[in-house]
Amino acid sequence: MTKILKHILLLHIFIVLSAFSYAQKYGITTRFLDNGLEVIVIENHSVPLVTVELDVKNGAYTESPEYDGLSHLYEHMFFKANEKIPSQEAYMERMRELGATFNGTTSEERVNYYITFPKDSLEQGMVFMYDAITSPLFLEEELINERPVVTGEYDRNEANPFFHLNRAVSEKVWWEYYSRKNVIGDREVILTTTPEKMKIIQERFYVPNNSALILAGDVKPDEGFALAEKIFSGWEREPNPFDQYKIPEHPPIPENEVVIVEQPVNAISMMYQWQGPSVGKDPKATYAADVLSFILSQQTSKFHKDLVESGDALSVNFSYYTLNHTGPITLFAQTTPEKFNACQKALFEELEKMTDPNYFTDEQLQNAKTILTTNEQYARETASQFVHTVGFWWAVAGLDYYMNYIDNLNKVTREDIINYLKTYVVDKNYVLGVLTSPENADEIYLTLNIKKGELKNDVEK
Amino acid sequence: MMSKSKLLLLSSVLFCATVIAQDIQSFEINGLKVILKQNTASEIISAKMFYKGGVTILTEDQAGLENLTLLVAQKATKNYPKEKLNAELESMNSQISSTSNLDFSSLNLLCVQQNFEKSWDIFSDIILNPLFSEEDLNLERNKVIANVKQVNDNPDAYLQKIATQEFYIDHPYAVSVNGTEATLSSFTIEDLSDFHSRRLKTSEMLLVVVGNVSKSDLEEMVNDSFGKLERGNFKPELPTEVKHAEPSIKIVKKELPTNYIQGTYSAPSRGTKDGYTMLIMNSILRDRVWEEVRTKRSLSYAPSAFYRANFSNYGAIYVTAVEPDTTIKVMIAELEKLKSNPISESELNNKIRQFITFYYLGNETNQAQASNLAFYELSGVGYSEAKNFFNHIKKITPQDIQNVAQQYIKNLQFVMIGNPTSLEVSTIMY
Repeated sequence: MTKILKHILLLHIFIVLSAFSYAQKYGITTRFLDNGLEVIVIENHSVPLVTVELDVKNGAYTESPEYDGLSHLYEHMFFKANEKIPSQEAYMERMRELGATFNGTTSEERVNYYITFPKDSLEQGMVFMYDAITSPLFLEEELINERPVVTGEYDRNEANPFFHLNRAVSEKVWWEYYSRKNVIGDREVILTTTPEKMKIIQERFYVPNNSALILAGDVKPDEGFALAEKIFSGWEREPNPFDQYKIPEHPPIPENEVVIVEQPVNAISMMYQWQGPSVGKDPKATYAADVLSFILSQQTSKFHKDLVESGDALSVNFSYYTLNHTGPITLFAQTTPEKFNACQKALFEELEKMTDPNYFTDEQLQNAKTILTTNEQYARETASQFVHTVGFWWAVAGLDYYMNYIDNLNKVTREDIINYLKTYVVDKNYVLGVLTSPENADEIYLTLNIKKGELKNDVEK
Repeated sequence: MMSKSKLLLLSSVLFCATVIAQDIQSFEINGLKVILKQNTASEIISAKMFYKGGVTILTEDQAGLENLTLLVAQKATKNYPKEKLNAELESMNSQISSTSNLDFSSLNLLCVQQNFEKSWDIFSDIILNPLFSEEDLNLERNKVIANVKQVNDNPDAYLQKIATQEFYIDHPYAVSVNGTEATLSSFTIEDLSDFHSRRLKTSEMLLVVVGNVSKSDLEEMVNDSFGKLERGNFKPELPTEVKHAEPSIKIVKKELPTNYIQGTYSAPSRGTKDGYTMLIMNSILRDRVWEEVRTKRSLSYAPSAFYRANFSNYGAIYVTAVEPDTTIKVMIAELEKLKSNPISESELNNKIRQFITFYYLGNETNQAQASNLAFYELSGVGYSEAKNFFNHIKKITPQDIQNVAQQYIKNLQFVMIGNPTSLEVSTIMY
């Protein structure tokens, strides 16, 4: 046996062993390549398609003010010229040849790129993604052309009244490091960026040991791992970016604040936001947070009855967004101008009741766990979407968090939920944003007992 | 002789079609047509009861009545008072919802297999025995009115609303699916109850189930639930095709950071020969406007082309742009190119290949498959035609694409929301 053949055989055994030893539930199997790239295969043979997704631990949280919005701009540049594909036109042509549909998204703590195609394009599709992630050219001309496209996206966001509410609240909740939560970014930074800045982002974050490759759909783990090894092994490992580029901790909200946002809207929206747990530091609170959110979403809950069935709110939602660098807790309600006063009072009363041990029943606690478990089951039916869910959890919390998520939810007790509320919500500072039409604004100021231009105040309970 | 690439393409197309077509059956119980697709690989079951006719069975004064009736019906039933109904559904996380559109409405059940029988009991009781309380009516009415008003707050939703109104003037689709503040405010408990009774006839309904359910089990459940319902003799009439004799533009002034624009034209209904060709043509058009408007000229983030799935149908070009004049001209040039130059064989083959992906992405879930089968059935094409999708697609030629473009893309009805600083109206009258 030649040395090379022996090496190949050993490699093959390693791949097979790895695949089996890491075999997990939900049809998910994972392993690491030597360069640190985590490869995740999600088997689902319901339709003859495969989605190839690349997830990178990048996004707003890595952005100091001079990079505000550039993770997102980088995401746009992914779909342009690289060393193998000379232009965006050629890029699109190659997509069509593969029968592929594609997209990318940027969020606070994750950037992902994905293409879906018939399964016989798998190897070519993976090569295509390898070229795109390892050898972007960032041509000056393409970058200049892309700026108005991104600001066009910005314009569309600004045309939506809720964008203004979100931004106004976020700027105050994350007051010290707002750029690290501002995914869409700063227009000026976007309009003046250079290819050099794009290269800096690439060198820092687009390294295999900060990325995951996920193959989902009509693919077997062995086949996926072998192709990943063949195609992605040449991507060179670099130092862990977060050893050098530390993410600063968001300081607490210094005092309760109110901000009124005037836009041409018909209903009134209220958004209370607190700084919630970071999944890496307090994972137990994140499970309690999710269970509580799903207790409150039940139609049988006190929360729903007191707020929606009473007629005070048109809709209401209490949620936690899981992040590794402080996720927000949001209480959102919509009401009519006539009901605003009653609704905001009812919301406060409800918050005060939440830590009462009898606020929810044992059945509602169990139902919340059932709902979360079944929702996962429903989500897994759609391989092309489920891949994004897995990628998100990989980037934000690590795959182990997701694989053990249901087990940990089932351990959540009434005391865990009360602790979560006491640690992050009850008597903690918040920001309240109210979205209203200019016509109703005066009434809102009056109800909240604040004056225009003096937007800092405790809300009267 | 057929090229090697075309042969390869067709073999994969045929293979795919076989996978999606298996195990679809149909039977009738007491005049209720049932379509069942057994999917033994899935633990999730989707059951949808469709009500035929959509807005075409409503008068202008009844706008929003079917949608509101279905929403209130889900709140409480004779055998499941509100608290019990919510508690049972939440304990299983079985999800019941409703949807209404221009052509039909549906009550939808999604559950895991082990809860199917118990969930079906609630689902069928909502269909048969809703309580319609005054309190529930008022709560749901207020929510729907708020939603109807809020459509005007979101430029995209507002554009769709105005574009649909303008396109379907003097047509049965002119009746709003969700209703208006005036119609919704006028409905009483008696209106909902009477409407529900009038619709509860098996000839007006269609049941589609996708999941791991045997035919015999489903037959028994359907017979127990709906075996004694009145049949009626409902025969829905498909709405006529819209034909605008002239192009037009309606500008709605609004202070926005950009302009929202849509140009709408008559299109064949899906499932017809021209409909399949239009699907491909529209997809090519979408790629081309993306490339010309976004990639080459950076004029917009979101240029696109639509082809809707209404029984009386339309296609459209859509864009948001700060320079509408320049942008629309580029898009119209692409429409003209489709009419005057046949596309190449390779562009067509690549597009058909891409359609394998689009098609399966649209059929990944049991719910999506149920909706797809119902669409074929309710549009008059017949559910069994769903399996012939790829057979139709593969026969399309470049000449077909050009013919369909020439036949349908004309007399565009433009709607623009925003405040354009310059606009040469005459040059976009197409």
